[in-house]
Amino acid sequence: MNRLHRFFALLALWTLLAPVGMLVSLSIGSGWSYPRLLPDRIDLLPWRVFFASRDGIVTALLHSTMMSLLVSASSTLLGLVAGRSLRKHASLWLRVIAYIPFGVSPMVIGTCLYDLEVHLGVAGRMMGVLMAQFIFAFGFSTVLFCELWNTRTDRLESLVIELGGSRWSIWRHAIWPYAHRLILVSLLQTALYSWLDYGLISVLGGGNVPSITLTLYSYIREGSVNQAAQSGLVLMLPPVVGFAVSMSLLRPRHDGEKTN
Amino acid sequence: MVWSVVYSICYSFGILGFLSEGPTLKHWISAIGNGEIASTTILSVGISLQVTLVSTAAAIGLVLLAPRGIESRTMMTMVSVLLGMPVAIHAFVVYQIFSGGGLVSRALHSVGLVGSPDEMPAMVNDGWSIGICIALTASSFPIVYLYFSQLWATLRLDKHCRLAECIGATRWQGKLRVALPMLLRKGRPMIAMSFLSNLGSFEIPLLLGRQSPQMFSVLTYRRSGLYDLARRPEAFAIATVYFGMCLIVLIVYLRWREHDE
Repeated sequence: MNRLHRFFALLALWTLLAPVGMLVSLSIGSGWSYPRLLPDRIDLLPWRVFFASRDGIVTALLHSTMMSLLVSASSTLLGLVAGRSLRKHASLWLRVIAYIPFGVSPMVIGTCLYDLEVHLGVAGRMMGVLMAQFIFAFGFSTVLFCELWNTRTDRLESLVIELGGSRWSIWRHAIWPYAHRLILVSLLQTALYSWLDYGLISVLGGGNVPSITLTLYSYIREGSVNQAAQSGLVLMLPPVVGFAVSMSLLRPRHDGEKTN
Repeated sequence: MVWSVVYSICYSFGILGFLSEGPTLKHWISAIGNGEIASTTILSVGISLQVTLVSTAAAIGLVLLAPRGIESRTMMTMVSVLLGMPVAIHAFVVYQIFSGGGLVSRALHSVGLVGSPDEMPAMVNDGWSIGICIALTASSFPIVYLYFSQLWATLRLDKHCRLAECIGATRWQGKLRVALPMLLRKGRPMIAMSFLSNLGSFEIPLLLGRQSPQMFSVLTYRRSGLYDLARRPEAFAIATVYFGMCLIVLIVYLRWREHDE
């Protein structure tokens, strides 16, 4: 019986994974005329173009990477501190504000932020996009770290103080061992958020800030199926690896302290 | 964040903005009058409800079928692939599979059921938003599944089910009458969150939706595009309605969470 269950579960997931197979097959050929199931020619053209051209995609990749790193480092650092204070001031409205990035569409927020950024003179520039992405990533990490502080960390902290520890040793001995996994997860997730963002960068970047998501969209709009599939795979790779890593970090541990 | 909300309220009432003529209700009246707000709200809420329902049911079903499925390495890899797939790719893939010239149509062609792309029933950019629903379900399923798998472990439902079996329940009675209610009750916040994120989705309805009606994000984006400054306040009226709904769902979410803690 158990084997049957496992079989069905695997079957369901394989069906969901079939699209990846299609992406791969499209990305290794060129053309896809109607009744054919596979591309017209299997010639690896999109990948050759990708590795040959040094201008468009590579710039976009570098931009995306740089923005991810900046956004993730800054928002994780500040989120760690903000999450701590959010738990201490547990008013409902403050929490609602902190949770906004989780649910509210970046597109709508971006539209509203656009006018503000025009006044600040950062609209259509990388700074403007970074600011908006930071706001969202900061919200994520704040909420993530808000869950970290509980009575257990409080007790650990007071233990360190009682043993004569300084402020630094509180962070070193009470918080770090407890938080380092979550810090890594936060770094990964915020980096991925920035990497995958299309809404904010297209509204606030105004087409002047290149990114790999914008490249993908321009391919989709042009109807270059093979190129779109290929850049889609490039876009997908870091998130897939990232999620695999953070999932193994957040694997259900059976010590009952993970509250979600 | 707060600034965005306040700004959109002020803009929609004509208090702020490039062409503002002082406080007025006319943008709201025109946005409500032409039925845009109503149709967008109905469409967005309908799609989001349906998607949340299907993905939650699928996730819970899978968890009940194979509670520890997530612990196998293959399963974890597969879930991360789906999770890591950007929404744009979901939309692109659904388009390439279900459109007139897509994979399904090609497969049906090869067995002689469909002669040309036009004969394929419309499944993307269609009146029933089938394409949007498929893509949104595929993109929201993995995170919901992951959550309920975690919940199974955190709540130690294995033990509860075994206890139920010890006092005479069958295997499925244990799962359906003990585990399922617990999963649903503890998972309420996640379901609310999933609803909210579907409500605001942008890329998928942009690529797979129709010109009208449109979902919140797409409509706000299109209306605020700088082609027609006079109609810009309407974009902010729509954004305000959207923010209002988000606020309600968020408060419900936080109340549920506090209640559970």
